[in-house]
Amino acid sequence: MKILRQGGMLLAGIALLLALAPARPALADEPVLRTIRVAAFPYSPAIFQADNGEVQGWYVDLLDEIGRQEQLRFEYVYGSWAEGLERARRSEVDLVTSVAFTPERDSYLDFAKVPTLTVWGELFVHEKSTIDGILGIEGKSVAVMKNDFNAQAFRETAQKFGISCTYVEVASFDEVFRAIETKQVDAGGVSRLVGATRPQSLHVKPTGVLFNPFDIFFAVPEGTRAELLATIDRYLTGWRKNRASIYYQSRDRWFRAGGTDLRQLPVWIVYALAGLLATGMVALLWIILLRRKVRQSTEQLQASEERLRLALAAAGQGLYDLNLVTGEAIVNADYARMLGYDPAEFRETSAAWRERLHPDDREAVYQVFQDYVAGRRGDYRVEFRQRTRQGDWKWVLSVGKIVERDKRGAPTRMLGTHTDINAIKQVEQELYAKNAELERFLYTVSHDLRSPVVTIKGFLELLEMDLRANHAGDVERDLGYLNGATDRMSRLLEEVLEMSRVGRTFSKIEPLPFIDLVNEAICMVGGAIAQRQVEIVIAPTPLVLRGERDRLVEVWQNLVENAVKYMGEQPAPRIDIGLEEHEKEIIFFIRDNGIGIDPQYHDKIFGLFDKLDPASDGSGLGLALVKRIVELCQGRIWVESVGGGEGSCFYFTLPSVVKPTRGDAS
Amino acid sequence: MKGHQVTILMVEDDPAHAEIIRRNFEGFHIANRLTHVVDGRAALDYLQAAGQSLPNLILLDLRLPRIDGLEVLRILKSSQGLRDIPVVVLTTSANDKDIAQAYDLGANSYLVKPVGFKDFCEMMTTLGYYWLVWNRYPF
Repeated sequence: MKILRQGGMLLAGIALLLALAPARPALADEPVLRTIRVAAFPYSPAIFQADNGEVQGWYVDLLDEIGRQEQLRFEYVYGSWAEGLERARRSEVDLVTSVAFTPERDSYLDFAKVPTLTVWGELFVHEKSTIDGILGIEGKSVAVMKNDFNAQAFRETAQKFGISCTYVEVASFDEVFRAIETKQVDAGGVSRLVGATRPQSLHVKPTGVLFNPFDIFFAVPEGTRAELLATIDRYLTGWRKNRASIYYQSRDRWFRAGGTDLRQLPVWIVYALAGLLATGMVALLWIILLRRKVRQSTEQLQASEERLRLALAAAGQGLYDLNLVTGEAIVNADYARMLGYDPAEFRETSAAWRERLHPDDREAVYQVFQDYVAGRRGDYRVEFRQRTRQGDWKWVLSVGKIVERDKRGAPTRMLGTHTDINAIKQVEQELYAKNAELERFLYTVSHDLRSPVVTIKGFLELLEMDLRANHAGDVERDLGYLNGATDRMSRLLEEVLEMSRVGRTFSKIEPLPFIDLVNEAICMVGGAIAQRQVEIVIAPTPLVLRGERDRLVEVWQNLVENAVKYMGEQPAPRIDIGLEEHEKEIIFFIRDNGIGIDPQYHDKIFGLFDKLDPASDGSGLGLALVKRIVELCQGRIWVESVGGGEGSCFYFTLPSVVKPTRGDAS
Repeated sequence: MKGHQVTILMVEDDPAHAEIIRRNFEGFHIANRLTHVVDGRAALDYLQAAGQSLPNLILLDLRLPRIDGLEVLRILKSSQGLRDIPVVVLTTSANDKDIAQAYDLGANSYLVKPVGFKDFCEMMTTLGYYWLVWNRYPF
């Protein structure tokens, strides 16, 4: 059906137009008005046919304005939406309004660049219907306008929710409403533009279910009217910048007529959508940040664990992670190896650890742990001995930290390291012994070296006095004391020097047959032996020692000298020299039948400068020197004697210079 | 000189030092009341055997064979009948530890043997006047 707009002036046909031309002189000089055929359809209030048959609406106002300025005449071809599209396809119209872009439509239409409007659809139901959400239309029938983009959007929305319903296609939105009113369908999808301005008399209501918003454009049949589209774009662009333009004025007039301002979404929807969007964005951001953080932390943790593992391996340190509740511990390979176990088979528990702990260290270690747990000390750092798998003791430094506690503050987890400090400890003990010896040395020097000085100085003055007084007998006595003191002093200095020569190792190592060593030692003490007529008995043995000759000779020399010195009144003095072969070691002995040593002095005799007999001319260094050499050979020395003239026997071992001869050909 | 007879026990392992001390006391004419023992064990044995005739003063060296001076001091000062006897430690050791320990155990005085007879002489004279002349004993 063809309707002539602007009919008031032009009515119908070119002829009439021409007839009226003189009445419109301004137009007469203008170029011939071009007529543009516009597909019109019931899309109130954008475009629709009024009761008087006139096509009206917002689009009409816009096109009129363009027509006035561009000398264009728009002729409206009214029909259904689908018919309008079909006409455009067949180029029976020059312009279509309100077209949403689809690839299918793009195949026969060219679209304007500037959207005319952004619209969306809404689901309507009968006013008595109980459907109030999209889920309510499951299995129901829904009326849509044929070829309507809203319908397509609705189908997509429904599909997204997994809802299936029957679609009934009708020609226009009015028919959709009619179908709802007559209950031919349960619901209907209508452009909100139309729905909002619907007559109040309709027995329908909106559900609030909205479809995707989309832009609608002017469009022309493909390949035609490019200049028209460009013109429309130009006008739309200009209008939309200006709030006072016909675009806004007309829209306000038409759209407000229906009582609803369509420029805006319902307020609650805006808030709901904004809220959802904001929540979604925050959640998304949160998730992204969280994931990044987790990734970073994981990488850092892996790097840190690797570093820790390498550092511990490099330092040869054992690592333990002890569960203080169950007593179970996770340990690394070095921890097990340190104690002589195969890491693959080693399982650690606090009970097993306690079992391996040296009894002498137990109390101290438990105390440190208790003090640490109770907060009485800042760190858990303790040294103790652990029995290795082979049964030896090994010094270990344990440094730990409680890393987890339960609600009541009781420790539940402890992490720490084990360090093998055996070598350090050994050196420490040696140093400790050396230091004690040095201290004692200095102490005794202050006495024993000062003592002869007191004597010398004293008797020099006495000598002077006696000489002046001509006491010849006293002079001789004074000189005797002076001699004795200087002798003592020089011997003391010599032995101190000798003592300092016995270093940590032997300087020259050579094979030394036992018999040779003992004979050489006896030669050194030959004078005293002969004088006291001591019988020396040496048990023959093929044993050969390996060490420094002078040092080893000194051992026997000092012991024999000692034995001769303390023979006492023994009428048949005798010294036995020999060795006993035991399972694991060879024990040397020197036995005499002299005065013996009271058991209470057995430890004291080996100390520096300690001597039992004040009348003896020794410095008290002899046995200290022997002990030192024996210890240099990783051996030990002790004496057995009941004292009281029963004789004494010195025993000693020299592990590093002697190997058991068992199995040797001899 | 006071009328009462003062006796001294000298515990000294070095015969030369004993001789110097003895010579120093010559001026006090107590030679026959100066007893000399050479180690800690001998000192304790002597005191145990002394019965009623305990010495009025003990001169005690510290570094002694068998039982050393500090041990002798400890035993003396913890024995009912002996703890009142004044003990003067007379030694070559000027070690702080020794001095502290000696007083701890109840030594009445601590003297370091001077080098040189004159100084020694002076010290012994002073010591002699103090302990042999002016000091009053509980027994």
